[in-house]
Amino acid sequence: MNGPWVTIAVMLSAYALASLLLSGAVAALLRLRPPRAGGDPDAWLAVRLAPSAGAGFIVLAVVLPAFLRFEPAAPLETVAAPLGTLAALGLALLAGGAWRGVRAWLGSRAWLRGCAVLPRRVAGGDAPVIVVDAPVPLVAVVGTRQPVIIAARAVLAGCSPAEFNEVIAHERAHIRARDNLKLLALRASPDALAWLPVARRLERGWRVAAEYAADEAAVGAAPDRRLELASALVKIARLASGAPPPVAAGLAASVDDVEGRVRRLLQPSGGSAAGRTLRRAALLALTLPAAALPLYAPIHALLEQLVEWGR
Amino acid sequence: MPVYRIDAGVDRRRRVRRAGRGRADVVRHASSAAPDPAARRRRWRIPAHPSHLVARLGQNARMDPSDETDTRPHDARGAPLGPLESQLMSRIWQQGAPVTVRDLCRHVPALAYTTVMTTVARLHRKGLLLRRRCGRAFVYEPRWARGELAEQAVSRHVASLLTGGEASATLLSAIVQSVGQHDEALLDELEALVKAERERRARERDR
Repeated sequence: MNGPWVTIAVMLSAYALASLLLSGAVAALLRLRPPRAGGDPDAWLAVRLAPSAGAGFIVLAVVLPAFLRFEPAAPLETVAAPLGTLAALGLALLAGGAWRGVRAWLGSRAWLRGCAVLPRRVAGGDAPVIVVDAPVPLVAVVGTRQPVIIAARAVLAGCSPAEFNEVIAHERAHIRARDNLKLLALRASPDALAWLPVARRLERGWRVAAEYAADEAAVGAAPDRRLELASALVKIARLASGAPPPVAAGLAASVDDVEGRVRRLLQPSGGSAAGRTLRRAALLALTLPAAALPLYAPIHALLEQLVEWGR
Repeated sequence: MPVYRIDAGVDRRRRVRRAGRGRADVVRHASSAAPDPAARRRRWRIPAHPSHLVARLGQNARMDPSDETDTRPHDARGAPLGPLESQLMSRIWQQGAPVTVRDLCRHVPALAYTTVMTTVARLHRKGLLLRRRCGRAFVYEPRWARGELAEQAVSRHVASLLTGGEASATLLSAIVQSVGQHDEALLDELEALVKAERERRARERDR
């Protein structure tokens, strides 16, 4: 049996190759068939995570078993330059994703710790609501493990109590859907797609879809609540239009479909599309290893060529 | 009843340095007073009753008495001051006039002169105090009023969340993602739609 280094190098190389292929496929697919705004946020999430999750799954569920099953007990092999280069690329992808994820998580944690300076207003529910004198009309959920809701005093003053309640309900819907955790996964996804502009497009598409889903989850089918949330959105957008430019420019330049959301809220509820995509992905994940069993021998032959390459 | 805890920040700055060349004494710059465990970790309980939401949020500028805001002053970078630094800053604000180290020592007799002197010097280095020479002594006065400093800390902290943009490391989901120039005509149209819908519902209820 080979030393562990060859096995690790082969797995990293396989990860790098699979990630590159899947990233290219996703980028090509989006170019050929640009998606519409909205829809199931989990579908956007699945597309964005497909390169890393798919590559990881292929390596762990197909490549590794094939390699371990068919690798003969032979004299130790060494890692040649091409294999080493691919392995280094795989390592760089994983390290880059880990770095982005840790940075995002630590940044949020540090900001939440600094919330000690903020005046607080305690409210019931999933997370505390902190009202602040912010230069922009911000209402947002910050953090993943113990999220807090930040609300600008201008929004509290500009909205009626019923409208503000629906705004907070919208934010609590984000918390229940664990959207910040999904955002962390998007940012930390260790794949080549993170180096391409298409990753930003996918994140923005997910954000828009997540906002639609949070609107539906917050107010449901209740017409009065839908009306209050629509009214609050218009008021916040109007307040946002008056925000000072330097700060406004610093915020995400994502497409914010306020018009679409307001019109949708003024119509009867059409239900939520969330959840179907992840169930399908889970089904695929359960069936793929079994379906790949007959391919173990050819896969191992390919891996042997990869190890021998450059000798 | 769920309980939430948020650390208000613990001052971990305990620097130890030698008092002077050749001296074996070690001067601790932490507060000479016994540490207050309650001040090191703040816990506050959130009642899980949604009915509180509307009642409390309808009040303007009235804080919930159970709120445990960190009322300690913060330095120019937004980091909270230690207990001794907070105590001396509070005393300087109370004086309302420039003070010397000797003046401060009269108000805090429990502290050694050198302790007060080095702490005040540190506050000056942090940018919280202005200093000028008056004869052989230094005279200190606060750079900002207490309220101004608190406002700066809040603004700075919130701005740090907002100015990162897409590159920001902070994970947040905002109800309105982009803050920019929304088409005013479009907003007027949407507002008219909302108003029309309200009136329609009001008419249906009246029937």
